[in-house]
Amino acid sequence: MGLIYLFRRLVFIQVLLGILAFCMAEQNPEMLLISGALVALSWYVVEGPTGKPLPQSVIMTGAVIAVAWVMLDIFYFHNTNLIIAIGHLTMWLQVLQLYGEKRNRDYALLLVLSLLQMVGASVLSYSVVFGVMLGVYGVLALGTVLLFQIKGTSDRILEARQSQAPQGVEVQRPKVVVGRGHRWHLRGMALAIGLACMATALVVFVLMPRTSRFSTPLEGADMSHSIAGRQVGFSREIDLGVPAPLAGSKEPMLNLSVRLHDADIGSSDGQPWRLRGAALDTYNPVSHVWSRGPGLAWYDMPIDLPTGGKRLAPEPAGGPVIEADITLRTSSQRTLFTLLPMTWVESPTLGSALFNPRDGTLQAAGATTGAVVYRLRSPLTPDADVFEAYQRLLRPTEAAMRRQRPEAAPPHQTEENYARGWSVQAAQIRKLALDILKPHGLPLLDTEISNQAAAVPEALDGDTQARIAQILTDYLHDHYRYTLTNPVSTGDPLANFLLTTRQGHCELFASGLVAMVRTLGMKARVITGYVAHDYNSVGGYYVVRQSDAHAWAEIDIPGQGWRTFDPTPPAELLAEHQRGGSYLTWFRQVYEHIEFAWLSKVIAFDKETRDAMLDGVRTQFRKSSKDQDTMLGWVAAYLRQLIDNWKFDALSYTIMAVIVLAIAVGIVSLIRIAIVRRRRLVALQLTRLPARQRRALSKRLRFYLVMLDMLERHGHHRPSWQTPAGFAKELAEAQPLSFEPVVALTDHFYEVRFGHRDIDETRRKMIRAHLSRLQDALAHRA
Amino acid sequence: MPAQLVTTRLRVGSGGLLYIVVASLLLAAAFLTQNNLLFWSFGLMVGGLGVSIVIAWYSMRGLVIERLTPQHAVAGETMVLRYQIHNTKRFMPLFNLVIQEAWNTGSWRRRETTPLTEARPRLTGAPLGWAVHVGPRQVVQAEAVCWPRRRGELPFERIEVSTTFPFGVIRRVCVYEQRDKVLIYPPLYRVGRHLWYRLTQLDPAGHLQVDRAGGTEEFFGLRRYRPGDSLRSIDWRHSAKTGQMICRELTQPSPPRLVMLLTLASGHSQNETRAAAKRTFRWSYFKTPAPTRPHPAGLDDANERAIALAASVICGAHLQGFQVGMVVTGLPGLTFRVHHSLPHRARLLEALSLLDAQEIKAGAPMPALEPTVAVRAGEGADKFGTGGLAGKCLLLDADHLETHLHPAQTDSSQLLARGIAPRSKRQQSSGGPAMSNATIGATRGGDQWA
Repeated sequence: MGLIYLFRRLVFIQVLLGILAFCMAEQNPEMLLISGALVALSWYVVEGPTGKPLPQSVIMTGAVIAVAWVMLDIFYFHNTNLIIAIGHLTMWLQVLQLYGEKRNRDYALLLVLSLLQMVGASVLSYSVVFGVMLGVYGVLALGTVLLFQIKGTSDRILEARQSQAPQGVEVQRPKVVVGRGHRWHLRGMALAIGLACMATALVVFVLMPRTSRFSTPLEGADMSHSIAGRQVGFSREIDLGVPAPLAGSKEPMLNLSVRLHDADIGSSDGQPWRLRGAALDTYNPVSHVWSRGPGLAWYDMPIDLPTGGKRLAPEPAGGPVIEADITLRTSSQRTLFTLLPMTWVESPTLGSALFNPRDGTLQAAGATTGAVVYRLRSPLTPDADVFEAYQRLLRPTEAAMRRQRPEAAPPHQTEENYARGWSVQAAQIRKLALDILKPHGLPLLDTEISNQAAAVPEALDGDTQARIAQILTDYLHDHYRYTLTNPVSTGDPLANFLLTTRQGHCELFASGLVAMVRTLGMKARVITGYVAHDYNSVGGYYVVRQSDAHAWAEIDIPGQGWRTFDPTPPAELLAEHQRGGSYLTWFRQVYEHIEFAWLSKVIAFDKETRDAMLDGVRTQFRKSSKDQDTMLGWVAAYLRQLIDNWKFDALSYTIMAVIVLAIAVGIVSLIRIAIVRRRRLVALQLTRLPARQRRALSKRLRFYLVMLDMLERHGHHRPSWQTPAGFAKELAEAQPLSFEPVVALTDHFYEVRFGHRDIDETRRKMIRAHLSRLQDALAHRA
Repeated sequence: MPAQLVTTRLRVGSGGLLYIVVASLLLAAAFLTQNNLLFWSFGLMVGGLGVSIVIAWYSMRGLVIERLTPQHAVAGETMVLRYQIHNTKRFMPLFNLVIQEAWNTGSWRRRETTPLTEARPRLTGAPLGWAVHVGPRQVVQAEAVCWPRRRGELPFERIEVSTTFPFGVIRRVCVYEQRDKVLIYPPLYRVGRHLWYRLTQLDPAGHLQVDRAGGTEEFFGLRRYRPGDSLRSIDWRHSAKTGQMICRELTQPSPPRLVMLLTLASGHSQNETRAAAKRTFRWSYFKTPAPTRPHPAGLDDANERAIALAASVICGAHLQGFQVGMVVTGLPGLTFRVHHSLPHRARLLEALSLLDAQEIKAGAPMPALEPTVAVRAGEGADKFGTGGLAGKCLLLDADHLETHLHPAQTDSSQLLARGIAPRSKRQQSSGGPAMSNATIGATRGGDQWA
């Protein structure tokens, strides 16, 4: 039975799709390989012509082992989170079920497990690829459920007949009774059902009341755990003692849209934007790890991010202020990437965040699920007032903390000692820095800095410090080589980089600059984050990938505040990060834009977006109805004017309604007549004739269609492949007495259609008589 | 005449409840995680539910159904009911229609005596038909099979048409009323060849039929010319020898005759059945009764066996070309003179189908027909007069049904075939295959539904 075979195939494909989606969402290629191979193999082992299912005892034993294994994995080894564990369990159960004998209950189980996998995958992944798979899955599920209905009914009737049949009577599967065109009808119905479901889903999706986001057990799930090796990527710590990182994945991490005076200012050729994630101020000389100072969390300040935003610092009067929209595609960490300095922040998806005025970092207050969208403002040029405002924020925070925890000691990262000082081979590094600076003849350099054991930064003005930082940065640009293949060396890697090897990756460059300026008494810190330079011209935003992770330095310049210095050679950095342009670039940008639209319109759809959208629709409707430039507005204004001018009374309204109704009925009738004529032409196979001949023949041969219709109502259908003569002959052979008029009418048909005979009065009477006889004969038979 | 629509219902079955539970869980998960894909999934499920309700509400409109019943069926054999389904809608097709016979659905007062629930059910189960698709303005015929358990009239009252398309969430049921009756013949078996052999033993010469003059077959004798005789029949040689006009007479075959005397035990059937039902009911409180499967054709008591034997012999005799008559002891009104025709056989089978042992009267006079075969319903039926016929006719005891009939039930379509005309000697001399050929030819005629 074709339907049952089709159903089995659809179930098999659906199971495969569920496994593929879950493994992609989990980013677990090993699991995909193993389970996919086992599932594919099951088709040949079980469903093939010589296929034989495994005994039920083996299946049950396997299921028990799978459940026990997953339980151990979760509760004993603590290896994985609940969603992933359930997904793995569903996969193994599916694989086992596929190798067993399958009844309707088992097929239903397979489908439910597959649905669970898709639900789990929808929680884990926000990629547009998964969205496409979800759509395909929906289409497949629709077909599978429709066929399952038919198969289930067939099986139910077969079972009922088997239970009713006397012993020894072999019962056949019920015959599939279908009418003409059942395939097209089923496809059309499935399409209509799918569209109706989609429309309803859209309405439900938009109108469903939402709540603010809050944390879930899924928080902090780092899905990249299965990818072996250390890759280039954002990290809240820098370990200089490990081998060089591998090239990072090209998966987009976030989107950045930058505007100045409400105009998009992004471009691929311009200066890249640096999105700072973590500010690392403490270097451990033993572990060679840069990290955020342990006491800095003491200064984390909770801020609410409702619609309207949170002002962190005043914006410079008259200075250009850029506005950046950032959409974090994954939220495996709580870090929120920002520009320096940041004066205002707003997020429709985050309820609150933690802002640290000391290091200027921002992070989510709790773990987040799904995409995080936020907007921030930042002065285009450095402004010390912003950092002054940060300091003012710190004071009440310190006071509040002291009131809450009077016994707690204040952190050592105070204003005076934060990001200052260096202890690892300080003398050699300081000498290197001075040697670099000496040729530039800086004021006070020889008299003050070089002779002091410990530098006194206040002795240098801001411009001098800025120049020092710039000179050192340029020196690193020119005399050090950027590479990701630096070998692991003994001793301190940072000192080796600066003094010996003179080559390394961005973390070593940033660390080297920070170390040098710190030996001169200046305040500096290492920043990790992303560099955004890949501009998507289709969507008008930067796409930041995992491989765009970068490290640079920030140096506190008196009178200017913290300024960014990137010591990594820019040309080599650009060569490392820039994607080669090709003819596929446009397609890639289109794909990424679709993915971004998916994320921003579907994944990130929430209460605020919903309210904003509904308000927008409402406002637009009102505006359009008032604006006469639009069609809606024109119609509304015309109607208003008409009513005002004519002063309609009830009778006039009634007459007008009748006229409108008559016009509508007339239009519908005309459409209907056109459709009927077209159908008639198709039924008579006259579509290829000239228009005039077609119309004339269609009118003359109408009697034949009447006859076919009459026969059809009594279950006699002429297939499209059968000639009228063949059809008439077949009927006449079966029932000569009843269908003799069919033969006569068919003869008339041939004479008119091919013999170019006209239908005169005599012929018309004969045709009427034949039709009447045929009707009587059919009524008698019924 | 199409069935009349009585009532319609919408039901949410177990599948629908499961669907609603899953949708509720999905909604809870969506609210908990605020995951938009889960909101989408929930929306799709709501859409599926809405579409199911709309399709269930609208699709069964304009459905016209008519039950096409056969004139008769045979107990213990497959009976096919056909349903002509007409979808009068212009655009919307119908899918996955299940047609089921119902007798008391839709009524809150459920009757106890339906063909399925009475003490001896007439059917093994409600007939189920299925039509996968009926296009707009199309007519299809679906069929349902069932197995009648015992002879008699099988009433049909209501047709329940339901569909769970598209998702199995909502079940739309339309109940139509169309009253029909199908006559169920007693179970029919192939009669053993030895029985026909024993019939020949009743004649001293061993013939089943006697030739008579007046036919066109073989030479019968000579006689004087009578006015009106054909000139072609004059035997000119003997006429010349004797000087008188002598005519030659040819034979005409006289078909064999079989007169069946059926003797039943009065009230045996019903009483025995009720007692057995009571016993089963009483003992079922205390212990599980032995799993006794009822006979598929209702041959659990002697009267039914006797009737089945009589019907089988009648059908077999008709096929063999016998002229068949029948007398039922105690029922003088139920007497059939010997005759050979399909309507005559149908009348005999109809009488046997509707025969009620309760109406038998012990002192009723016997009709003046000399029986050839007597069938009695066991030893208890002797008092009705078959004991004195031993030696004069073939006496068949229903208790030994298996000795007279073929052990395996045959397809009754062969036994109910058109049969053969009385055969000539030439055909008889050609041996056994004549019957089988005739049977096959008659079966091809396919008049079992006539």
